[in-house]
Amino acid sequence: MKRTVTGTKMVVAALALAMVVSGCSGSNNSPSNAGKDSASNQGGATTDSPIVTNPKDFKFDPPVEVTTGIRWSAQGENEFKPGETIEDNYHTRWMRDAMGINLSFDFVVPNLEDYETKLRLMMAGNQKLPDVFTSKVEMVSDMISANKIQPLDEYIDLYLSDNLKAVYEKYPDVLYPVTRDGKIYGLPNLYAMDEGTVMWVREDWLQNLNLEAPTTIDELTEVLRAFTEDDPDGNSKDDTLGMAVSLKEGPYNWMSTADGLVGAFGNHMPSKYIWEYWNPDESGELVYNAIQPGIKDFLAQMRDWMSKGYIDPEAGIKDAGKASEIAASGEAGIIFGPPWMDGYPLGGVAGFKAHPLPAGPGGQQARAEKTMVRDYLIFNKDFNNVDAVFGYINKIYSAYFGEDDPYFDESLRNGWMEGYDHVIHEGKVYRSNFAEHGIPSEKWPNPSDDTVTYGLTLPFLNGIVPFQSDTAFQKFLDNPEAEPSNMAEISVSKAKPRMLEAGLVRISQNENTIVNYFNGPPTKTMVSKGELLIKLMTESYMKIIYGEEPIDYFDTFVEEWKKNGGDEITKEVNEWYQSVTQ
Amino acid sequence: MRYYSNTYKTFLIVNYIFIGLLSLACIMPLIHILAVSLSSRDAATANIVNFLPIDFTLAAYKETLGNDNFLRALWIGVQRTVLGTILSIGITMMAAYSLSKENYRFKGRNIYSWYFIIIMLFNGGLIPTYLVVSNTGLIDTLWALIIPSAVNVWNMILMLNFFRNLPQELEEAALIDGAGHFRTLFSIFIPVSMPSVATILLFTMVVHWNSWFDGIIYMTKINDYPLASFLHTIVVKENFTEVGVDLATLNQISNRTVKSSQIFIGALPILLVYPFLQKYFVKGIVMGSVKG
Amino acid sequence: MSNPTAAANSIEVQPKRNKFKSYVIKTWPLHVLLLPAVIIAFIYNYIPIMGIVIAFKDYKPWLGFGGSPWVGLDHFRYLFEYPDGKQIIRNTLIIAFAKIVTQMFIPVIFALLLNEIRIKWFKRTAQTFVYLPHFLSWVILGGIFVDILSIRGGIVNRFLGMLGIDPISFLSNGDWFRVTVVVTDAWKDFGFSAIIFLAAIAATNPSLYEAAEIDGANRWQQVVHVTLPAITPIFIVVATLSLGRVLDAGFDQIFNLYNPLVYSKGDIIDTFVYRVGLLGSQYSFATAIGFFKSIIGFIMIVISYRLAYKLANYRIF
Repeated sequence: MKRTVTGTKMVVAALALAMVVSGCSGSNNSPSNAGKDSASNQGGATTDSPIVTNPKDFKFDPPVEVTTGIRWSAQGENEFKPGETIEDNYHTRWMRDAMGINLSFDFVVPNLEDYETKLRLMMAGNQKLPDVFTSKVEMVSDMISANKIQPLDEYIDLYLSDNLKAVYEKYPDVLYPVTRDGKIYGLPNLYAMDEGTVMWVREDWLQNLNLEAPTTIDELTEVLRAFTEDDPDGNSKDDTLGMAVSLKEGPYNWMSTADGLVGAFGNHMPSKYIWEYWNPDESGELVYNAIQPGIKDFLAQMRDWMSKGYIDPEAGIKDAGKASEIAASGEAGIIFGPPWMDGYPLGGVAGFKAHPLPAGPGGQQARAEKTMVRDYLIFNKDFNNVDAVFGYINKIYSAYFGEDDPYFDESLRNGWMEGYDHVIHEGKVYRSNFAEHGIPSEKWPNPSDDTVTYGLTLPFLNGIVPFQSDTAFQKFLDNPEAEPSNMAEISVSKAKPRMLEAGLVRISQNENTIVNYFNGPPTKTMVSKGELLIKLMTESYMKIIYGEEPIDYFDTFVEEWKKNGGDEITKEVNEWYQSVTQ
Repeated sequence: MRYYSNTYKTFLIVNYIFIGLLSLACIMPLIHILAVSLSSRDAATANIVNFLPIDFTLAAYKETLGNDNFLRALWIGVQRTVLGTILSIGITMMAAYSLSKENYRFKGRNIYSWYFIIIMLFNGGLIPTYLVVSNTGLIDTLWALIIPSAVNVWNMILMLNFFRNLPQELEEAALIDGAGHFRTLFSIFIPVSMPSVATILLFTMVVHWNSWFDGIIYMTKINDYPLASFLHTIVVKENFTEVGVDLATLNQISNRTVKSSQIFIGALPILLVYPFLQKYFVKGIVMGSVKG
Repeated sequence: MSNPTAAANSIEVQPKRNKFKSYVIKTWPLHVLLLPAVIIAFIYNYIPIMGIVIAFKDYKPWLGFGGSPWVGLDHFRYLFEYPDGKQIIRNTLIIAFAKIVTQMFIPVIFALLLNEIRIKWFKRTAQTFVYLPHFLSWVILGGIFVDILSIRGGIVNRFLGMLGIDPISFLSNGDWFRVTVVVTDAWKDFGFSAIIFLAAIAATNPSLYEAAEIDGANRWQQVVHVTLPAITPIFIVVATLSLGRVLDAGFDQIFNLYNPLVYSKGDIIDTFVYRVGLLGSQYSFATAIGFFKSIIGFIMIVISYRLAYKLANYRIF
């Protein structure tokens, strides 16, 4: 009887194994393993490409096929007209009709984490990766090691538009992390850098209490006290407090942040990532910011405010979104964060106005500067039409550079597509308030609702030219009807006055930023000890702020940090720094 | 005539009150979500909504029900739940029947039972499972959501225990009538075990309805996601320091009312299924068929 | 009618080949009924289990399972040599154990109480309501509980205030955090877990109650002598199997509720693994920890299986 049982199982096992094995060997015939050597596509850059000979109007005939895989969530409002999807919309059709580029999608995933998991699974299964897609530093590094992507130096030299080259030359750091053995493997997608922290304060409360907006930490203390104790909303109830902030992940956050306060105490910024922030001390060596003395003063100040009830007592258990709720509901009078907070979460509270960051005891004012690189555009080793993609990139960026750029496309002058994000009526361009301007409803992007316009989600180009839109803020504040001269200005022109003012506040402090100098892939000890050190940091900070440990506990924290791998990491970081600054 | 003592009567009153309050406490979160979904954006952002909508509006539902992706995901969720449940229940009950036989009658059943216990505890992990699913050609098909998870050992153990607790006479009567194992299982055991079958049915449906991870891993396009995977995209904490915040993203974060409406609609089907199944939770079919 | 002993005796006398043949004739339907489950489990569970080998390697997707370098017990060592290693294992055990115990008894008690409800619509509505929280994800519930448990006007603290008790920081005090985690998890799942017991109660032979009543038993005695014995087998099964999750303190819940102030008492193995994973995909490490948890769970189940057999003479599976 045991024999039968074993016998059946063996047959089943054999069958299943055969299936699996045949499946495995099948996928082993995929192109990426087909024995081509890594230099096979290096010689691909030629001056004969249509994008070089005819930048303004190049078109590939017959059309070239390009595949990509993207992160997109299907949750956006008014992203596409009915019937259009991320895979088939006016933009993908424009790519095909105007440039002869046929874009198709290997996969679409909603969240960043799942996107990266998907890529790793494809690597594990030896499946063909998309022709062009984006990745963060660590993944790019793995892709290089796995021999899945091709170097881009020749293409950059020959194909990249001059304006774009100038951007990369202005910020050469962005290329270091994806450079290996002297070759560049990815095109950086950069942030607009317009999210710098400003201080949002309830103007109406200040007026009620006859106070001026605080410009120093001491003045801020007084304002916080008044907001907490002096009934600023005049309703005779003890229902207000000073500041809404999120401390759960450390002082620096994407909203409800405290980085503007940290910067008042020194040129150092803690972050929840072990690879941030590192900047040079007097001797030129990079030091880890979270253990520097200025932080101790910051923590002491927060501890003082917390003990007096000036800041949200639950700041330590709330994330950024949750922490902002009390600002939106009228309980808190001060909150730090990006200028776009004008719309969310402060959209329902007209009383908030943006102000510059306060100065600390030594006169310092600073905010954290986000890492400039969002991710990198990388190219599959076996992809042969790199020039088509570069041409597309040049064209899109040319809309931001303006009409002097050789790749500038007339059709992109006023927006991404007429009838979607703008309407042309009687020779004039309109981007909002269509009914007000007397435009007939058939011409509206959405004939039944004149407040709707359709934005564009670019498939794989997540980048923009940093700081480019800065000059436009004043322009549109002065004259909301002014003509935007490029795509960057167009997006600024749509902002409401309060956000434009906030933007100007942000711009006024563009020199007061703390920058991270380390942008290589995580070092060996970062990977093995990083989690422990970050846990140590957030725990220690919170204990000090909440009064569970005395202020001098900070020194104990620094000692622990150094002992448990911190010194190792500092050494490794400086080795990397030496290697890239030679 | 039943005689209820006074202590019992007091107990009954207290019991009713207690269970009543408990039930309300359990339904409160859903009422809150419903209220948020019917409130204005600003009210939701400020989190001032409790159990009644503030600035009542149907805008969130208009958007959700007009969102083709959402509706499609809902339908796919229904499909995988129905098909997956049928397959899983079928397999489970057949296996449970065999496993419920004692070892002396069915030598080797212990090997089978340990075979299954092991897979209940040990798991190869994401990558190996993905590779097998991929190599058996299931990627991007509905079957990826149905077949790999069809064997549920927990349900199997429950079912085999229920079968074991059926009176011995039931099986003996069937044998007398000349029924083989197949007929015994399908014509006698299952109808008699309705409460347990209904239980397993409910559990399996619930697991299928809530499974989101397999959808994300095995489907390459959002078009093919079942509802749970689709909802997961809004319900997970996106890390906004890793991605830039542009207008589109802002819309997404700030849209609590739409998220709430999606969550509410997503919870409805599984809520409505239970009352429907409750009639099967009645006392087992009269044992009278065995007497005499 | 079939006499097992006589049948066994008669089989023993027969020569081996006939013994085998009669075994097959008697039991082949049973094997066939098991076949689909066996096959599917083999392909989709056993074959992937071979991938556990990466727990002992430094797995890189492009090197594959075979090509990745062998590191032996390094990953396991990492967990035990981690300075907070003892702390997170302790937290995991304490929280998981507290959950196992509370969720062993609360659903049963609730099922018994609900069974005393006679008004049909009330009973059905209550059942539906209480099983609902099981379906809400912890991301949503996390936000809701932060509100409910808030020290600034949250419902619970306001209620405590009426009783003259000072506000409690449920989510920022380590010990209260553990209590909160256990209680809210019980609240979330008790209604759903009670379903099994409700089914078992429903399957009890009604004539047993009649007999007890005839013997003069009151309601309480009926419950003790009829209902409880009827659900004891299932209770033992459920309780035993839940012991296999002794290292699973509930990642989703803790991840959405915890914060640095409660790390020392609330950080568990899974949240630790998650944070390590943020530094770069650590499939090997996660697999190693998962394997470790499985082994412990397996040992627990074997022990409780033996215990159930010795003490209650009941074979769970």
